[in-house]
Amino acid sequence: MANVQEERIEVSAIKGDYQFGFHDEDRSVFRARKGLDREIVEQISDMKGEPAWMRESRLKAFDIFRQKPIPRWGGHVEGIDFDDIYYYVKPADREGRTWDDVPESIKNTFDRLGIPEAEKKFLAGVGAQYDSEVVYHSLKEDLQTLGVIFLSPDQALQEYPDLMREYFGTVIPSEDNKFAALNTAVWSGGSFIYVPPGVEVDVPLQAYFRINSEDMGQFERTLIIVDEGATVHYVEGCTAPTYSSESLHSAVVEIICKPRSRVRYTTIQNWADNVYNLVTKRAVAYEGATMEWVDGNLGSKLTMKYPSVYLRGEGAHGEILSIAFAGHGQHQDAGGKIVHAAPNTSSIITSKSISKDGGRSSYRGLVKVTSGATGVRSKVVCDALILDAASRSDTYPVMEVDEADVSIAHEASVSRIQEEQLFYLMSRGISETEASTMIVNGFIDPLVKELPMEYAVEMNRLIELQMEGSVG
Amino acid sequence: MTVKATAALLGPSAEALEALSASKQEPTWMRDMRRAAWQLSTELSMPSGNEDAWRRTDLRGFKWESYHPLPPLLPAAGCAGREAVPTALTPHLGLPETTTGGILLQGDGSALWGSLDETLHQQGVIFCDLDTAVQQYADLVEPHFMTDAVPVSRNIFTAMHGALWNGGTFLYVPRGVQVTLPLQTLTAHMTSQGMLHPHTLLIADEQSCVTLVEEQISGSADLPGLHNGVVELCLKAGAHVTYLNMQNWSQRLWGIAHQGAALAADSQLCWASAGLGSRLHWTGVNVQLREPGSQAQLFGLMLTDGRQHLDYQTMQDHQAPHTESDLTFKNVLLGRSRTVFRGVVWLHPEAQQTAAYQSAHSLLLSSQARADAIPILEIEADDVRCKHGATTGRIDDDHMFYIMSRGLSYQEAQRMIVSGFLETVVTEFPVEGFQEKIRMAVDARI
Repeated sequence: MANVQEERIEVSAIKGDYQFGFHDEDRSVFRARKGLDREIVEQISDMKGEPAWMRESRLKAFDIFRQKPIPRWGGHVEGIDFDDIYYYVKPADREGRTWDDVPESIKNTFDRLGIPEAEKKFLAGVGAQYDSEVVYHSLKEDLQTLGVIFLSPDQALQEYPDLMREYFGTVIPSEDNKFAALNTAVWSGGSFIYVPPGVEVDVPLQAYFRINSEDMGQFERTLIIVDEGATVHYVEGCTAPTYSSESLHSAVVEIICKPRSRVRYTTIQNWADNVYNLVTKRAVAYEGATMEWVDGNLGSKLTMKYPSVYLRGEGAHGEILSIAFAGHGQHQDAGGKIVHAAPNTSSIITSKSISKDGGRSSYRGLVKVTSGATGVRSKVVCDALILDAASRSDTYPVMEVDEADVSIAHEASVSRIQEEQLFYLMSRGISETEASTMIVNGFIDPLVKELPMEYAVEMNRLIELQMEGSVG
Repeated sequence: MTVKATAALLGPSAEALEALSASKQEPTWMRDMRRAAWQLSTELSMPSGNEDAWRRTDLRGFKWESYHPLPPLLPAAGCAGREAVPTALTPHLGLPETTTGGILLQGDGSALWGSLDETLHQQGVIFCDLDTAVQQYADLVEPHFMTDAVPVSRNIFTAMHGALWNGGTFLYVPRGVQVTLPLQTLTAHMTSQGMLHPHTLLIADEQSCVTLVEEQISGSADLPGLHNGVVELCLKAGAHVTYLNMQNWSQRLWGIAHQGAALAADSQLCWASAGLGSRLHWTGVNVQLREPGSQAQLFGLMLTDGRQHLDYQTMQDHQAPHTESDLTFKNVLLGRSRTVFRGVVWLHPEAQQTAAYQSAHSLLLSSQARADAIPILEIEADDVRCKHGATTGRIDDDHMFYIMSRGLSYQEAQRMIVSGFLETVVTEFPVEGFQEKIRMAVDARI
């Protein structure tokens, strides 16, 4: 018992001063002025020395961004002042090739996030994003010999211009939505992955993202191309220092799953609670391919993110596992979209959400079956836990079925922690807080089980922190 | 007759309103209500299609200007008697093998015939056309008419209805009166290009109990028309109300309906609707559980074929603790038809110790049909039990094989499975004679 007591004191000490609330002294060399106009977009493109087509794509996207209205559904994004954001910050340090090249101050930041540990644990490549530029990038020798490309898209644009030009913006065109257009106009950093035919990458590739400069939006761009019969697992995690003024994170992730490939994309999002996290993620899966999104949302002020899979080839399979934890002042508007555009395609969406201390979590999803997509099977399950009377949980599933030969099912339930479960645990001498934490951890277990080990540990730890003081 | 004077008019207008009100010799309060509603309707615009409730129903074919406002055919109060009922409508009167406590028949917005059991009349039950009620029971009608369950200001359709409502049903059950026999109201659309705005107003006083079944039919299956109806159900404390509705308009009618129920403490509502007819019909159902102990059961079925489009938008609005609601919808789609079910369960922060359920199932018999299901939960209380489920699929091959292996044809097997699929909802309509009517209407279609 004494141990538990001690640990709790320690944990609450961390919670009192937000765990990831440290930040390094800002030492960026170049920073575009606040606000956004054509000049800034051109400046970003110039700084990066981009080819003309990318510059044009940025400018076209900028026009689309200006024309599209602010979305009125989902969360309240009216609070974003687009003129009060730095759209591009380039840090002092160039991209490091080895760990030794990475500057001490940045290493310190990563130390706090556990990156070196991840390295030690044989994680394949670390593309760690510090501000808008990739500062550290390593790729294991064996991956290189397999022909796997794992770069920042800026590098890919220089080294593999043909691949970039062929696939960039094909899954998510800038017309898709206002924030995809914004990203296309000002994107910087992110990941570019190409896995050649038949190659199985058996260790997860991962990148850590951080926002550092105050008020700086982070607009990373990820493009993953997995060739026929190849396999890859990409892990993206985010933590950000807390700041008083509001930040914007608007990423675009495009994935192309060629026939018979298997792709998994895992995200644990833990932005500071002043960040607007508005992300467009979409994958296209061809014949016999499998695409899986594992999406955990713990941080941010508002998240609007609906990873989607377009099943375009016969027998393709899509899976979305979404977890949302909304605490005080947070709105997690998460979910997923599956479009069945080919026969005999199947999909599963599992959503688990927890609302606490006045937080609001929403599941917003779409399952669409187009005409001619026969033999489709889809199942959607949404479960929500509400931990107190001030919190809110919503479910907005949409099913559009344009074909008769299908089997589509959706179910959802909302409840609070059952008294009997609490009573059972407490009768065994466990405190109410611990019992609640155990129940919540059990509730999200389907997601945690799918995570690489160190993420699973971090996830459980984060839930414990979130649950601190939840029982009054 | 006034018909000639206004028949030339197409579309809603202030002139049509004045002519209508004058011909009915309405009291000032009703005429003023109509004028205010008309004013409101001119200030409101048609849905743009971006609103959540209207996103899936294309109203471009809903043209007010192509239809005639229908003035009363007969003086409101002086129904001619059963002999005067048009022969086309007589088979619809009454319910098979079920005794009714009263029948009300309206054609094109005018009362044609009405009857009420003498005992019920003596107990103070009022069951008459709404025009008569406006004249004779203003003290009951005025406080409830489009003020609460379905406010006139909700949108352009309710405003237009307030201005131009023609014909309707009024039912009042006094405190403590138990009406055991079902009451039937039949609304018929008889005139080509006619614009119908029927209104049903039901007030069940404290501890009373009543069942109202409403049928909506057209004179022929291809009669063009426009329907913009409102149903208001006011349940006082402890009242038990069953409201059953069968929408079987012609396949060339375009319709909108707003149905609202306001439930006081410990009241119970059973609402059930069968959507069978219309070219396009949008129905909004808003059940407000306002006080503790109120309960609502909702059942719906849709059967569509050809190019039909039916849209049901339901709201289970829990505003108070200890309330319960349960909704079940079953839909069968044939041809190139489309159904939309969008159901919202809304639990306000006050709605603790509540339970709300929702389930919607669609059976697609054609690859060109389209079924949209959007079951929504908005939960702002924590001590709740809330679940929903939705499925869409086709007939199971094994089921077909099983039935056909017993010597039935493909069509017979399909018909059996469809009836079986719908039967679970049909049996929830608590009036047997009405169940039978729905079964007959369904059988005629598949």
